[in-house]
Amino acid sequence: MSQIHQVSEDLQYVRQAIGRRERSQQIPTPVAWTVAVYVLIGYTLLDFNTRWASLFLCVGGVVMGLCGWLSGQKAAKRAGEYDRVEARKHALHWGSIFLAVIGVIALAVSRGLEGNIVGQFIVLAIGIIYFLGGVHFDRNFLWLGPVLMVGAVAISYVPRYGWTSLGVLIALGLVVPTWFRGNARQVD
Amino acid sequence: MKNSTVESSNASGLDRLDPLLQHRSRLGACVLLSTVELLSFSRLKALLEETDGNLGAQLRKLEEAGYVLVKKEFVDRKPISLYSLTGAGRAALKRHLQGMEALIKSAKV
Repeated sequence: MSQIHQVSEDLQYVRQAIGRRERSQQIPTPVAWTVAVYVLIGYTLLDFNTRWASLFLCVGGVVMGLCGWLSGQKAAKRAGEYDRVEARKHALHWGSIFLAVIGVIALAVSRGLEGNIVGQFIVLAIGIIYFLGGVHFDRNFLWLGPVLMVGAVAISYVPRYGWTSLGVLIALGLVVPTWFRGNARQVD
Repeated sequence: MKNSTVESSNASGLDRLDPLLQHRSRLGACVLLSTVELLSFSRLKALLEETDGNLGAQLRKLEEAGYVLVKKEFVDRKPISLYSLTGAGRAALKRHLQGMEALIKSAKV
C-alpha cells in the first residue's frame, strides 16, 4: 500500500512539473510587444491614410514575421528549451496568416471587393488563426481571436476611428498579459 | 506459494518498475525530456523545483545509465548544459509508466 502511495505522490509531483511547463509556454514578451506596436500603427493608419496603411501592413508584416521568428528562437534558447518540432508547428501556424492574407487579396482582386471589406476579411481570418493559436499555444489568444472576429464585423457599424479602436484593443490584449507576466516573475 | 507471489507481482506491475526511475526527480526529468527535444539544466531545475546539487546528482545517475545525454553550449556567452532523452531512456520510461499504471489498477481492484 505504501508503494501505491509513493507512486501517487510521484505522479502528482510530475503532473505539477508538467503544469508549470504548460503555464510558462506563452508567446515571448518581445514578440507580443512587436506585434502590438505593428497593429497599433497599422490599424491607426487605416483610419487616416489607407494607402500608407496597406504598404505598412504588407511590408511591416513580413519584417515583423521575420523578427518574431528570430526573437522567438532567441527567447526559447534563453528559456532553455529547444524543440525543432515545436518551432516548426509555430512557424506553420503563424505563417498561415500570410497565406490567409494572400488568399483574401486574391479573392478581392478576382471579385473586385472594396478596400475596407478586404481589411475586414483579413482581420476575420487573422482572428480565426489567433483563436486556434490560443487553443494550441498561448491561452491569451483564446479571447484575442474572438475580439478580432467580432471587431472585423463591428467595424461596419462604427462611424469613426473603428480601426484605431480595434488596434488599441488588440495592442492592449497583447501587452497587458505579458506585463502582468513580467511583474509576476519579479515577485517570484 | 512462490509462483503466486511472482504472478501477483507481475499483475501489479512491480516487475516493470525501473529502480532508477523510482526517484521522483529522475522520473520528472525523464517525463519532461520525453516531451521536448532538449532542456537546459536551469529549465529542468525551475520546472522540477529542485536544488542545483540534488538535480545535478540525479541527472548524473541518469546519464551514467545511458538514459539521458548531455551536451554543453554557449548562449549569450554563458555555458549551459542541455539534456535530451536517449532511446534507452525513452524505452525505460515507457516500461516504468506501464508498471505504475498496472500497479495503480491492481490497487483499485
